[in-house]
Amino acid sequence: MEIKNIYPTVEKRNLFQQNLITYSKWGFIFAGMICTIINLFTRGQAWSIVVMWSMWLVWSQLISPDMVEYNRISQTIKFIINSCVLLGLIDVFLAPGWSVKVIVIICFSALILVSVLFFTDFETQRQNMFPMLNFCTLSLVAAIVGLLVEQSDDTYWTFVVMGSLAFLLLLAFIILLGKDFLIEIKKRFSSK
Amino acid sequence: MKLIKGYSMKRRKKKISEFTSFLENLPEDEVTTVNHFFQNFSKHCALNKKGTELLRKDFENALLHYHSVGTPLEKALELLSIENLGGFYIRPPILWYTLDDAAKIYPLSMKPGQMEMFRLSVYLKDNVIPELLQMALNFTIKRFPSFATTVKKGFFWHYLDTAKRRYNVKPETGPPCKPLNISRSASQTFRVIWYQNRISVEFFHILTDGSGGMQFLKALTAEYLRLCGVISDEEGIMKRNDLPTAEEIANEFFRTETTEKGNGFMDMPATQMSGKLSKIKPCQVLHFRMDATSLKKAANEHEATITAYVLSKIFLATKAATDELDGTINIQVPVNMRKYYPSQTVRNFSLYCGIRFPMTEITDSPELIRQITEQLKIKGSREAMGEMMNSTRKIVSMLRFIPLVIKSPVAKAIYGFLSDGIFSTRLSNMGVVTMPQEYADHIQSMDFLLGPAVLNRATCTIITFGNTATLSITKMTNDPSFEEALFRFFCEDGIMPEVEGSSLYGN
Repeated sequence: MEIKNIYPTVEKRNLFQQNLITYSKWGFIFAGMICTIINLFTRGQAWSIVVMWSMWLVWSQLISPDMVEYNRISQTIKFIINSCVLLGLIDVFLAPGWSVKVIVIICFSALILVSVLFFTDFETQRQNMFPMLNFCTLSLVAAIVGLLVEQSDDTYWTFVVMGSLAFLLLLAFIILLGKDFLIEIKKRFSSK
Repeated sequence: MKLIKGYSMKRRKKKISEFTSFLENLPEDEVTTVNHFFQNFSKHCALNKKGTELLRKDFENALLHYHSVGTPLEKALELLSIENLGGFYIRPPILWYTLDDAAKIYPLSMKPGQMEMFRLSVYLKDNVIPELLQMALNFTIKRFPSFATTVKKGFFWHYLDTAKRRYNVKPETGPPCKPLNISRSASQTFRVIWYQNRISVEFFHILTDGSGGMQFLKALTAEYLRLCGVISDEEGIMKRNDLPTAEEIANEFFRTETTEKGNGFMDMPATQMSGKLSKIKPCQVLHFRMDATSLKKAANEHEATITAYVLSKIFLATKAATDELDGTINIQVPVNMRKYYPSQTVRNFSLYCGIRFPMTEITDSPELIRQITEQLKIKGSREAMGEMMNSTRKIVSMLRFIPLVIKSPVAKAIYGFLSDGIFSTRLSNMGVVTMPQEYADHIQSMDFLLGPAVLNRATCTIITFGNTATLSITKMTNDPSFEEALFRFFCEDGIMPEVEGSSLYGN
């Protein structure tokens, strides 16, 4: 069977990411299982949960990143949320009593950072506002809950700052986007 | 001053472009005409700076091409009339589209290097002029608003958001159906590429199915040929300046009759061909160009359709390409639902059925073709397809309020586990494609390729244009047993395919 070649010589395809995912997937699963088993046998604090979340953070952020809506806003927010969860887990399982204030400070700093990223490239980034909208809403809800639950003066101000920032950002979205804001909400929450 | 507006002296000093030199050699009145032309362009384009520059450059390149082949300026400007841009590039992006029911799985199941793609190609009698192809795309895209989109994540489902940009035409440099990068803002969900005399469009299946894709390719080719100076009434083509209709972007899965019956998607694993899966997918593509009359005659001899006849050969070739002696060969056959529910939609509106035989029953006999015909009749019937459509609706409806963040990993895991393992291969028959005679005179043939499968070693398609039926094979293994057997079986029946294709990628 003679084949007449009618296709161009192709550029060598970079399979680095595919290979990295294929080979490291089993490494990650194996490491997670080993940590859990060792942790179960040695008893004590549940450090394996912290290890597994850290591995998830590396996996989702570096090895297998998002295939849809991979942009500076979404990736920054994803990293911040994953890091906050990690800090929370360290607090709960390893060294309690410090994380609330730190997490809230990280969150409001992140709100400032992403709003700078967002408003310095408004026309392009307005297409990527959903993760930011989620983050603002989450921060606002967390601030309200924090203000209701947390009575210590030491952390109270952090919730006030986070809540105010989140509220102002949401307000800015509504003012700047106007009708588009509602359309964006409709698109993002459509269940059809 | 012969320079047209927008060309500052500073820029001119930096680099005198070919277009600037072209303008400098034009008589004064023609420069004024070009000036007006580009003033009109500014009225039709509100893309960002880069997009506007690129689009303007496309016009300049096309004008330079026309000049180089001696087309009078007046004629060139008439062919490139700015009105063909319509309002697409000036209006803000407000449209968005929920995914049709068949498309909902595609973004959920994709992984790096794995994406449901398909490709449609047209082979012209002359080499492609990239400048005119780019202009053809610039003019055609507005007619297909659901294609001028990018994939976005919603809380419950992915959706398509309009992306107002200049859509690229590029030379073909990669293997066919290479996954698209859809992660960036306003990323394209299809690509238009050219190589020698071939124009290809590769689609992410989320946008459309073969039928909708073919409408686009036909419109693009017609527009390209119009820009080349071919005149036709464009009968049967979606005309570039007609307004898109709601029917063309409808999710037609809503048209199912509500019945209690449903048709499951689960099935027993099928026997796979034995070759080792290649790392680079596809590792080769092949096209069997066959005389359509001979193929039809061979099918008629068995009182079968071309699909049934070719399926019988694929069953035999699959059996020849596996070391398994026992098991079942199951071939997926997509069914265009438009034949049961007439529709103008360019979105996905096809389902599939599985034609299944135990290996022991697969013999080179008229009985095999008769049984295939019977299975096609029953499994591809309106009733069976209606049941499947009903199941699709039910699944989508069941999952609609589960957040995407939960659905996505679950779907990935299930799809990764099942993938295409319940089928041995696929055969998609696009049928006979026609173009208006004036355009057909400039077209050699067409072909259709499915994107790489996960476990299947080969997938097949057929498309007929003029008197050429092209059976294309997308290969995922270096083992040549399947295509060699298929070639032999066709030759034995007196159909002598001319084989074209690619070399082995990655070797």
